[in-house]
Amino acid sequence: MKITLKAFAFYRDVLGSQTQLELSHGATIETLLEMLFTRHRELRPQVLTSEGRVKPLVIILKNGRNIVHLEGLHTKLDDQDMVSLFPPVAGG
Amino acid sequence: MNRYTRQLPIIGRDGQENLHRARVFIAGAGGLGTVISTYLCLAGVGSIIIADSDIVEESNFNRQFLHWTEDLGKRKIDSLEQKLSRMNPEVLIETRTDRIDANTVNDMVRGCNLIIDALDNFSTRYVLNRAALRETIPFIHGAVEGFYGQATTILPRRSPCLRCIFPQSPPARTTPVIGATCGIIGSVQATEAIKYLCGQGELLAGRLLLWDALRTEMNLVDVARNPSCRDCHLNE
Repeated sequence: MKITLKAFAFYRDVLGSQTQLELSHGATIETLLEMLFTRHRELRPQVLTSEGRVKPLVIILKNGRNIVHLEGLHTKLDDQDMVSLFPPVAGG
Repeated sequence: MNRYTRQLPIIGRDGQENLHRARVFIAGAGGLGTVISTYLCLAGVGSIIIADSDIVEESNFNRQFLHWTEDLGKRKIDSLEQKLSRMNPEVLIETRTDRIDANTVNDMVRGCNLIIDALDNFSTRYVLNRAALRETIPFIHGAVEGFYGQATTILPRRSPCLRCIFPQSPPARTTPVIGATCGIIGSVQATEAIKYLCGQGELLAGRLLLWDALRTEMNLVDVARNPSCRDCHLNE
């Protein structure tokens, strides 16, 4: 199946702005991230804590919904899904 | 009406009247608050309520252009009120120095048509988000850091709320920022406010605007409501 990954700010520097990725059926956000970490080792510590949790400084959306509200890293992906990855900013 | 001659062809007399009748709450008198309050004041928004408990410091000067050297040590809201009321004497500027929290927020936003986020932390943003949802007042979010910024408009019960999009607070810290980033995002927020009050155009509801000044790119990401969001859910 094919998914689209859109990355912004730091993540775009590493991953490019928009990428089509081929994943096997049953893949999850974790599968996608592991694929990205294999290609870009520097990404892992930016996205996950040493305990393997998503850092609060990373927003991951699946079709516009934050994966925190879904099943986190175990959120299943389907064909044509759009995953967005960006850091929230907080200053005013 | 002469001072509005260049905008009347766009928003019409009805639009100008809508702005004049509006009461808008701006949370924060810093980088974003300076820009938002300036443009809403110039546009002729009738009443602007600004809340901030900070005093003017030298480190504010790279972006907060209504606080000047002679204002050092003054309360930010006094500095803003002084400049804004001279900028447009037709606008009523109200100031609040009490901290925005669960106890004070209801009184602050009561009777307002809009709530605008010019804060520097997510914990207070969540307080405003809940108040906006509870009182069914549109809430215009904006935030900046470095060369990056984000903005979205929250229409209670119709579009995703702040908690739907950002369920967790990023760690609180002092964020470095380029002043012009506040100019871009604050202008987007002020424009959203004018559009909403005049009933024109398409709001940023359900869309998150991401500004990347290093690439000079503005992107829009569709965002969706979380059916089990603890903030939305409480208010339905």
